[in-house]
Amino acid sequence: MIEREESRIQASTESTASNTRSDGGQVERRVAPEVTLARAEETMLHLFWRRFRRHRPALTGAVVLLVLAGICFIVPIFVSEEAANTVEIDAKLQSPSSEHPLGTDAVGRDMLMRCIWGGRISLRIGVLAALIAVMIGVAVGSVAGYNIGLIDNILMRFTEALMSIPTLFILIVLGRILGPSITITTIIIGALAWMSTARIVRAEILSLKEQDFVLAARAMGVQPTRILIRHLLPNVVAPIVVSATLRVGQSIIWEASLSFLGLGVQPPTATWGTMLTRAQGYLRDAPWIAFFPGFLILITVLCVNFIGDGLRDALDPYALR
Amino acid sequence: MTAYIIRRLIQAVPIIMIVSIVGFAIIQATGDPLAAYTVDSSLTKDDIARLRAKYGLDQPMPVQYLNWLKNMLTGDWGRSYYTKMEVKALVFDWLPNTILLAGVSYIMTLSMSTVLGIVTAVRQYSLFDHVITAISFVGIATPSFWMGLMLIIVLAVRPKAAGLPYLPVGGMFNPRVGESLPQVVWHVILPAFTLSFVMTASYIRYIRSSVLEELHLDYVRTARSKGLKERVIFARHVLKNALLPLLTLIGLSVPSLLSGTIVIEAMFAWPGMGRLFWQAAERVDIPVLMALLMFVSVMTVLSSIVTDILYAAADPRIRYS
Repeated sequence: MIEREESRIQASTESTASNTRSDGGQVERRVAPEVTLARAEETMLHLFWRRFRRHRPALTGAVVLLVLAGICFIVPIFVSEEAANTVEIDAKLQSPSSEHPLGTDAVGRDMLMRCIWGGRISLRIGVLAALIAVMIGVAVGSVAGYNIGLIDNILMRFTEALMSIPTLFILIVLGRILGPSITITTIIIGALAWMSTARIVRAEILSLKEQDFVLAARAMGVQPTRILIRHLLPNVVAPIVVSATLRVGQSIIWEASLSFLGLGVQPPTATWGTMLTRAQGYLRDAPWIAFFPGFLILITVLCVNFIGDGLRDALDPYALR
Repeated sequence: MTAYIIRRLIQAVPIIMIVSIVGFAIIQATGDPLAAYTVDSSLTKDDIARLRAKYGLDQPMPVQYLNWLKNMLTGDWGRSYYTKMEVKALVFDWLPNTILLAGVSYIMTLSMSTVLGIVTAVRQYSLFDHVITAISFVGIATPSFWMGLMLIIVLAVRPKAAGLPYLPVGGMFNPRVGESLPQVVWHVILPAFTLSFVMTASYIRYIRSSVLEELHLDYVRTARSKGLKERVIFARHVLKNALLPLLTLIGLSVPSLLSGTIVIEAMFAWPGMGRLFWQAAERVDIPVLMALLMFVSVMTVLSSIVTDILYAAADPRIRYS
């Protein structure tokens, strides 16, 4: 049923676009638009959900990630941060047990609580940094793609220049100069992760703006900014969403690397990265200190990547089903 | 060809300029270099003014920038705040070790990933393919330093505890044995493999899809229909085309390889540029930080140019225009 709807919408848009003037088509067109438009929005969501659901890894990833995020954000409501930071020197380096399901670290803090509290910060940094990155990337990419010429040249050279500084190097320098904190770590990661999004958006806009609907809008006297926001950007949503998802994983890994090196979020605040900082010294006596935080990073990034794959497939307008 | 190379080099100039402006802006953000002296009561205002004049700090900003740029280009990179050594000497002392580590790890990456990528493509959907694909998905999502910690547990800590031979986890050679080639080779295995793991994972994905794409092209069918043996089709036709894109990948992986060395060298106490950078970051040793930042950026820009040239030279479909 839905499939038939979809093909009808496609047929009607196609006929409008190519201006074929068969008699039946004209009649269709005169009555169809309102009805199909209303349904089109509904079926778009359905269609998306149907496709996404079929992508097994993505669906699994989404479920696992929801559970993980749920734990990391709900447990801290009921348990105070003390639970993650209470030093119990008598209970140091204990292996996983019923009392401490993930063991304890070098000063006897409960690893499970630290993983949860740390996950809260790691996930938040990942999502917020990705949001910042995508906002900058969309702004730069769309302006560059739309106002071709001097602005495009300047913005793209700037993007290329930033891309040619190996990221971890400039992250470390900025983090060091601006001082380590959760906020600053988030902002600098976001400020350095936007380049690929900008390039994707620019490429999409460049090809889209040559299409007839843009010409039509211009002929109607629509303001360029409005064309960009109302007509062009909605067509780029799919790649933006996919790239935003992938940025989340990347940001989490960057935060962890920075914090692991002692240059990001500072102890005693737990993040999955800071928890690994001193773990190297206890690989023999307490390997679980090193294992769990990194494993959680791995799971999170894996899920995020799968979700990104699923979104890419589900949002692809050229996919057959 | 020569014209193409020259044009690419000219195109790199604005990028390096922007990188250098970013670098200079970062230095400026660290504050007044004479801040420590202005609170020193034994210095009069005149002394400060003389110091300012001596270091050119009384000049307008653009002039200061040009001076700094000139020093950077002529190799006058200043002295480390911390060790008082010349930065240039420091960098070139430690650089060969990084090249060794990155080179070995890159050779590992290329050899593992081409073999695995090709085999998984040829045996698509076999058990082997599924296993390797799963591993490479996990590998892409793994933070390299966590992989390092796990490898240390498996290849060093555990075997040592069990009395088996184990891989060394720090430095370039055992100080009691002295520096020798076998020692260095023995010590490079673990850090190089750690560094290559994540890269190998994404390379496998890349090569697999590249080979699969080629296998479905018309020329393969033609070759089959004229009765060529599969082995010949593969070795003489498919591989050549499928592995060509690898060239671009090699150039593009320079920044991530360099970024990777920071974490890996810090972790395995490998006396290379990454470790130098990390130490400089911890001590806020600005001259060292900036010299390395500029150095790796220029390396990245150059490597992308070399890549393009190689690619153009290897692929007859690309013209030097």
